[in-house]
Amino acid sequence: MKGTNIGELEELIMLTVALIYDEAYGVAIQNEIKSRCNRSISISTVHATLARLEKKGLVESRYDGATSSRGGRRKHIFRLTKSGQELLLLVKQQRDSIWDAIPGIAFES
Amino acid sequence: MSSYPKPPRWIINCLERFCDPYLFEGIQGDLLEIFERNIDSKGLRLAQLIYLFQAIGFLRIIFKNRETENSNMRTIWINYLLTAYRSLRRHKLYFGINLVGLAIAITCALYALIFILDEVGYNQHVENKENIFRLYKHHINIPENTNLLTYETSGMMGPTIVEEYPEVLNFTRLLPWWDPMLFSYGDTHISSPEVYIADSSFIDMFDVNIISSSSSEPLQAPSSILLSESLAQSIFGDDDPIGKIIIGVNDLNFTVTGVFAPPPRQSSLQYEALISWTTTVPGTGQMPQDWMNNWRAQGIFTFLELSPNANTALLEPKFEDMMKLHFEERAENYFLKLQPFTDMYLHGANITRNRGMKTGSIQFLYLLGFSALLIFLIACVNYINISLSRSAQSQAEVGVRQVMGSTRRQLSGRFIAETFITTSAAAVVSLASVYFLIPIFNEIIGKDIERSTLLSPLILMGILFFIFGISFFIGLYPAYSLSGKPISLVLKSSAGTVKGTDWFRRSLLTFQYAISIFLIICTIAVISQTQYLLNKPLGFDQEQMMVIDLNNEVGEKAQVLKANLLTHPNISSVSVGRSAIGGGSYSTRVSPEGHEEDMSARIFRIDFDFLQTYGIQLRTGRFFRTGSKADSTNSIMVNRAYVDFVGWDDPIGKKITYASGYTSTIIGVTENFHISSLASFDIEPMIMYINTTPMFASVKIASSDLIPTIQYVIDQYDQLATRTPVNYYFVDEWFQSHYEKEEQTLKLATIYAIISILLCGLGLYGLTALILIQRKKELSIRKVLGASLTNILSLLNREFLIMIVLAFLVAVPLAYWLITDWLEQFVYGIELGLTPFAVAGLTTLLISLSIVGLLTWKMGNSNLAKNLSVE
Repeated sequence: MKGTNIGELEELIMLTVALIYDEAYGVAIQNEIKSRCNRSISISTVHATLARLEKKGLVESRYDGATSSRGGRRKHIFRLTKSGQELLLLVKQQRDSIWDAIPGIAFES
Repeated sequence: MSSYPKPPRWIINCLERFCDPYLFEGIQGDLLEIFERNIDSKGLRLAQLIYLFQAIGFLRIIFKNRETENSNMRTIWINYLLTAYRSLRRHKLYFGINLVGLAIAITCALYALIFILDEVGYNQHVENKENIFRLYKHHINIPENTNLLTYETSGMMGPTIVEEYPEVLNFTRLLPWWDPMLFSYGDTHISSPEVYIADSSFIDMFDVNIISSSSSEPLQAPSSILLSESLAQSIFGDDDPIGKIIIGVNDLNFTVTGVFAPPPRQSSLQYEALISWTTTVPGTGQMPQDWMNNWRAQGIFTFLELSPNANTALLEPKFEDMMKLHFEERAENYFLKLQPFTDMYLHGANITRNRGMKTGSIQFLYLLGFSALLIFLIACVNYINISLSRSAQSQAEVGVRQVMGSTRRQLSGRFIAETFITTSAAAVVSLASVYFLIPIFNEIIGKDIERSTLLSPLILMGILFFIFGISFFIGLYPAYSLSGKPISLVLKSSAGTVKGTDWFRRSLLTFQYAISIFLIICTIAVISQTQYLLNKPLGFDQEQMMVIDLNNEVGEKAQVLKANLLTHPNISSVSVGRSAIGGGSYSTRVSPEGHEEDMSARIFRIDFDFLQTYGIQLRTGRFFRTGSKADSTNSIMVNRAYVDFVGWDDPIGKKITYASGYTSTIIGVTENFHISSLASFDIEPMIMYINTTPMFASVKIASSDLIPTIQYVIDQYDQLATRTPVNYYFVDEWFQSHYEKEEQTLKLATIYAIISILLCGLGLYGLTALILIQRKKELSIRKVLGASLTNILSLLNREFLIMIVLAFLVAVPLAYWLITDWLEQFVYGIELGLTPFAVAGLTTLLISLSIVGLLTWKMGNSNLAKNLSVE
């Protein structure tokens, strides 16, 4: 079924969105991924991915109130949608079931 | 935080135009957040750069989102750009040749543009510039064969004109001091080369930016001096200079009455200090200079401010009446003219005696612009030629597109797109190279253009214009001819020739050759002329002749200095006198025996050792006898030109009467020797007499051991000086310094000729390679059937030979006409022989033949079977 498969980067970003719940906007996501995974993703990539996810209906977004920093621009904050949450859980279950099935010997050599 | 510096605005505007408005605010906010963070950690510049790249990164979101909702036309255009890009990638050699050619051409054009804009921007800083005029004279004297324009005016002209003509509102007189003026304050001694003596009206007329002053008219009182900020800083340090007294020229005291900001770089008037004119007025100032304030002496500069509705064409003739009224004896010789102040920088080259002012040359600008244009044309021709020859390769694509229903206009668009990509790439390359090469350009041309001018809106607009203009101009013909063939013909695989455009291609190539040959001829002529000026015998020995300025305290001890210098084994001779080669002579009128009228002559005042020190040859008679009382009072020597000028058969013993009534007798005649630039001055009739007032010491250094000897001279000087630093020049360098303009032209011409040859060669290489590919089969068959390499070579070269001969015939008359015209301006010009033409023709021939030969040879030695098996 098309739409249920997501890429590795998409998954990472969705997880981060869930992690920093209700504070997830571009720069925050970028920083979080940098500090947790030591991985530099350009800001435009973050935005492009989020836009793609929103189109697929996996995340939803709103604008938060204006602040004095950021040149007065509001933050574009993302949250997982219901289907996004379900998809992440599904991915996790699939992975877990595979992990469980891996024979111990495969990791010993 | 609004206090933060702003990131570049244009990129975000660009983003806003295309971006989904819903996403835009978030994107912009994030960009700003990162920007603000980076300012603190990485600094403003880096932050801006990162911002720029990130914003560019966002552009791809736009393309992605747009693609799905494109109209058909846009898809076609994107496809054209894409195919053009792929086609360029496939043919790297031709892309490279085109890119290099266009990049060089745009670089030349861009530099010419910057240079011209910079020169045109001179003297634009003065607010009232339209109403300021500079007075100059047309000096005509028919019996003496004088007919020249000169800036020299007399001190009474300005004031009288303002008095008599109501349309002239104000005047200012100016005397740039001849040599560096030494200023002393306590133990600080600073010498400044740019000191003007000027009327107090100078400040208002030329918008001198006064930083601080003691009164509203700081240049009014006698012995007032205004200093530039930096000069004041170096004399007084952090002390307030206003009201301080400094010692200046002739050991006189001057009161500092003001400090000004230095004049802008783009100003003809360059001054570090201004001294009040009243200082020189007899009876008022402490430095009375009658000659600066009378009618007779011509040696100062005058500027006038006219009322806005004054008409210079009406005013100039009126000056004749004024001259008749006040200065009758010269009313028939001096005709006063007005030059707009804004013309003074570029259009003053034909007016002589422009001392102490920064000047440019409109002639040089024309030359630069014209050469850049020629280079540009060569590059364009290269491009068109190669595109046309390549048409065979894109025929399949054209055919398929036509079948699919492309209109001719759309097809042209496809080829213009290809040109556009190449031109844009070339523009970027040349922009970068100009940016990095500006210091080298400045070095070569002798200019001080800053890098920042490159980013001025006008230049950027120019580049955009280049890109679009060229894309259209050089893309149009190939696009037109490529897209115009009938489908049936295009799709036939055999249609590999480009016969239809052959004549066009050939005439373009001929045109290109003509430009190259023309430039080479010009370069060789300029080289020969410059060499001639530098190497022509001057009539004396100019090597290792050191001239020291003694118009100062050391002058009193000149004889001590001379004796000390002569003790050194490397110094063979020393002359101390009022004149030296490079200064101290003046022109006056004397009456030679047998002539009623006064005739002008240059007066050279020398000591007994002068002629021997300079190695000037005796023609007839004798030299001055050292110590002879009679020789030092009423004997004179003249040069050969004087004898010819007066028309004496036997000059020895003839008498000359000065204006004062004093009479002297000629004892000897010297051979002619030059005392000024060969470019602009012939040898003048000259009278020499003894006057040992120390103004200059000419020191002849006889050994190759130059450096220690110079040091010895300086040491001896310093022992005698208390505050004046040594100021000296070498005679050969002094002469060379007069040929700066010629050397500038020489450098420019050489560079452009080399570039043109390179570009021509590049184009020829590309074209020959293509022709060989197209005729590969034919030539291979010829070879298989027994043609030798020589046969094939002559077959191919015949075509180029005809073109070169034609080009030569076009270029020679043009070059001959231009160079003869250029040589006219020199008093000593070369005879234009056959050499430049022969060398230019042969060089072009040799280069083309070797390029064609090399490529043919390479093909001839390749595997013929392989060539023939290709279907």
